[in-house]
Amino acid sequence: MSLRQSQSLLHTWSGLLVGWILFGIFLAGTVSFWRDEISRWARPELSAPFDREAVLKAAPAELAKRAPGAKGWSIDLPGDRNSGVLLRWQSQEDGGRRPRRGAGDENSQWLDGAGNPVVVRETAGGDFFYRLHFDLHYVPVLWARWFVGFCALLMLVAIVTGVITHKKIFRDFFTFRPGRRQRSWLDGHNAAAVLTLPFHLMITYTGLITLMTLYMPWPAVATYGSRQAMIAEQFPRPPEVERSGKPEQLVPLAGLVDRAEALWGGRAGGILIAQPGDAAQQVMVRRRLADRIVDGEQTIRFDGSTGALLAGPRPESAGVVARGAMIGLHAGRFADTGIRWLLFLSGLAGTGMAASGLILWTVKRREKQPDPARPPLGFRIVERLNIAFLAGMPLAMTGFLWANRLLPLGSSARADAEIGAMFQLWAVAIIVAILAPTRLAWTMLLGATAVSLAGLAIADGLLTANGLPASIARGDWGMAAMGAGFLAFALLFAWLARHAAHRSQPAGRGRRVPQSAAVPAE
Amino acid sequence: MMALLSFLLALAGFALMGLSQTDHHRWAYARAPARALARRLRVAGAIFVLLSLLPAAAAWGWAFGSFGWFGLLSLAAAILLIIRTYLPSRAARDAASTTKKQGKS
Repeated sequence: MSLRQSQSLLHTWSGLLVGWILFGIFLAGTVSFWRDEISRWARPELSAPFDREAVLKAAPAELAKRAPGAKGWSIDLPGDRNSGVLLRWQSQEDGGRRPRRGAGDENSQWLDGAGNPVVVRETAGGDFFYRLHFDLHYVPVLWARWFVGFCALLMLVAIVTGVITHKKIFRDFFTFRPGRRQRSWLDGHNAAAVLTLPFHLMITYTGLITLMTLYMPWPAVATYGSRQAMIAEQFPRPPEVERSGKPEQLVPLAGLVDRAEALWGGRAGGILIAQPGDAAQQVMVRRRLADRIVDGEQTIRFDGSTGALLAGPRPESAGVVARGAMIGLHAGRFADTGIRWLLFLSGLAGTGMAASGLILWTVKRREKQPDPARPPLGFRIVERLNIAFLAGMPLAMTGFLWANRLLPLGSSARADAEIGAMFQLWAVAIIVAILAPTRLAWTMLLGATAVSLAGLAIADGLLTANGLPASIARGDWGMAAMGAGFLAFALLFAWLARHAAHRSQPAGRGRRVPQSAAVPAE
Repeated sequence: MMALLSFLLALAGFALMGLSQTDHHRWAYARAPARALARRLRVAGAIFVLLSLLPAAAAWGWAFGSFGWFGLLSLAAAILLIIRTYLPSRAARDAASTTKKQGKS
């Protein structure tokens, strides 16, 4: 077996083994480049533009009303891409529990951009797809992360072996030959992989780096004794503040935020107040992650009673900066609109690469079956799994968005019900994928996704103030892009459904490419 | 603006590199390139592609710019791939215009 043959074999089987999960990871990760926009879309109640002065005044007043004598207050400030201010508090009895972000915590309250309390529907918003990307769902988080890491490692294997396998990486650089079945799928798979190869390498490698101390704890264990000890030393949590029992006014936050921003030369992303209302109170101002590539906390600590500076941002070691930079590249929080679109398009190419690779596996083998009408069980499983994931998952994701719009606003455990709706719809899609004839299953699921997406754009116009025309008129490009995105993907899925409906069939029915037009086999 | 310039330079660079290849050259001009021409096209294309880093760095700074640059390269290459796939070749266009003329006369 030559090197290329062995690499080709490894590419095929490593890709197939985890291909479906990789497709899901890619898809959820790609839409997560719009995490803030999806969150904003999911909370149409929060629309007023952000007024920093008003919010920094109203937030502590509201918190003092809702949670006097709390152990801690937290104020999440919006970035450029989202709106609304999330207030959270922790009671004195409450230990180290971190409140769940935005997902129906009774110790939380939203303010709109002008600082007025608003009742906001309970939803995980864009955070759901973001967590799904590396924590999956219904599985213990640690297992999920190990599994996702295993898949990412095989992804890296598939990328390297794919490059070795690809015979004419330069000659085929701009080549796509449509309408030629296997050749077209291979061209498409190659184009999606090669043209965005730097992105695929970067995103897979940095993805592994985000959880490197989980996957490879031994260097940390050798140096620090344990992973926890390393995290405690490198990323220390602020020291607990002891209550003095003497009440004291909190200094105005705007002044502290201004000073912190001057110290960083950046912008504030959030504020924590420990033991508010007590003479010992401290204010920690957190820097916005979108400010720089490096993903790492830069917190400045003030005395909340006097406003004195207690501690500046911790100096970061080269190792911490390097790790933070890789995580930052992966998450792309720093990206402006232009770079964000490029990341999103690259992510789509990656999703297409995973999808076309899986389809290629069946296309390549279909013709070679001894009896194409009755393929072996393994082939049928791959074929059905392809439908269940490649067509089923996008449809299921639209189910989450529909649930966000349709579930009664006050219903209990609403955020979980939205997520449940996605998996229920996916279950239905899987049943269709198993029971219906393959061509019908593809067509139905892809077509349903197209209808569902187009419906979302229309429903936005009817149910919210964030419809496409209204968003454009307002100059709200984030929400306009959501609406336009729904319509664009509706068209894409409609085209795919049409393509699936006319696809040539294994038994020789349907359209066939004339022999003369086919490329000679290599 | 600078990002657009970077994108256009990358587009031009990849186009030149593509034209240095016999298949694509034949598609565009209905003839194969001479060996010396192919080499000149390849070198010129590579220079354009490398030059496109500069406006990207001017647009976003070196840190963000070198990152965004890869994205622009991918986008430029993808657009050329679509043009190459769906725009009829020179030979096909010539043939079409000949038939049209013949139809008129």
